[in-house]
Amino acid sequence: MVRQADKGLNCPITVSYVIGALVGTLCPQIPNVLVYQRSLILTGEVWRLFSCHLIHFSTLHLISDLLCFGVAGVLIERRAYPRFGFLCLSIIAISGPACFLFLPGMEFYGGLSALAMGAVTYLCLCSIRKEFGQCWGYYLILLLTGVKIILEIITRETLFFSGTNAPVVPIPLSHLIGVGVAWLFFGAWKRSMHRSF
Amino acid sequence: MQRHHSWFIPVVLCFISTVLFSSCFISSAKRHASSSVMEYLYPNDRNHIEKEAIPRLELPLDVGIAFVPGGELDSVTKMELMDRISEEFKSYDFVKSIELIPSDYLVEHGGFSNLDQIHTMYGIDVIALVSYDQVQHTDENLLSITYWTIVGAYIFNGQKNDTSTMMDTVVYDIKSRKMLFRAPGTSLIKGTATAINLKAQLREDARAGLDAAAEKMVINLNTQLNLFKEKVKNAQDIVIVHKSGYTGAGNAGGIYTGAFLLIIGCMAWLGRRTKA
Repeated sequence: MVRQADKGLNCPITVSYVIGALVGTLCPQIPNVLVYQRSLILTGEVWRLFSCHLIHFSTLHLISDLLCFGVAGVLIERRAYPRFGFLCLSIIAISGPACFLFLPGMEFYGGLSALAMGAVTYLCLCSIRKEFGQCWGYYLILLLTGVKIILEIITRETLFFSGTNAPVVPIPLSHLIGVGVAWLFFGAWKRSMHRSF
Repeated sequence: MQRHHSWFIPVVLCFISTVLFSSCFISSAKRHASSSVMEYLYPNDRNHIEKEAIPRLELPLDVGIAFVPGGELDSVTKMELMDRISEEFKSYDFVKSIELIPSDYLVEHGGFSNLDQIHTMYGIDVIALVSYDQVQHTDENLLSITYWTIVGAYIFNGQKNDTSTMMDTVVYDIKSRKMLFRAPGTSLIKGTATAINLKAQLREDARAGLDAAAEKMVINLNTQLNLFKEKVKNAQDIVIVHKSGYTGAGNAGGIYTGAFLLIIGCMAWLGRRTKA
């Protein structure tokens, strides 16, 4: 019983991001300070490039991101796949600045999905490598992830209307970065495993 | 013979005069007032067909609302109606601003070149053109016989009026010249009036007809705007571009998250079953 409880708490990285996103989105005033806002970043509020992942624009947006990241993160940490914390930090470090650089027309940005996509991809790749359970499922999830990003790029379908004065647009760039960084980390891990042999 | 003659002439004269007098009232009349979008947009060639073009909308939209030139409506009524229409547009997030364009800026038979001028002047992407068509028929009923008494023309409602009105809002993308959607509204007002009060009653009916048609048009407009919102969301038949200053989101999405959880759940269940 005690061992199970210990196991339940043994995913500090995931839990901290989930709590961060809940606090960041649900507490009033915090979104104003943490959200990606291009005009304010240009005046020197650089932290917004990195803190924006904790902010969400609607309850559905928050729930889908948290469920996706939460489940993938818990599985990664429980299976002790390496460098998950670094993976998350790398996605955060690259995603915001890349959006700033390549999407000059975007004024606001928020959402944990870059990390969620990265975590899901990393979970699938590591599980396939370790032959953890049914591999077909992980291949299917990887395929779904690819299809989702391609559809986002092609259709540019509006996600939802945020209740502000503008519709919310999906940003496939951040998802691409999440997936790309996950592949890089997995490649590095595979290499280090080969070397150790 | 002499006596009979003296009685006959005044009676005949009286009969002729009453018939002449009543004929002043007994008549069937039709009044027609309209402003037509087709006449405004295609003044020279009503059979003109625009080339197929896919509208490219930059969200959020700047919308203009204008009354098509023509008709007999006064500026105050036009502005009131445009205000009602603008209220519908305001409630949609894909609309950034709404401009009510005074009739003076629309030239009769101005066509798309006039719309291009308005597009430059007001900086609007999309315009809602409001037009109307109203026909009033006036006929007499049986009570009009009382007009022979002259007093009856003041007291009895011997005139029956039908006022049929159609209001229409057509929304155009100015650049592509493509109609995005339209919302019509119709009404039929039936009324009666005394011969003396006929003109005032017709004016009243015309106003009531316009109000009723506008009310139905606003309901239809709301439905059409909802359908258009879905079109915008799905980028269906239109190309959506986002103006500078848009909000982006990294969203895993309900379908993707659901599929991911379902697959993970299935795998866990199958894994347990295999172990057992």
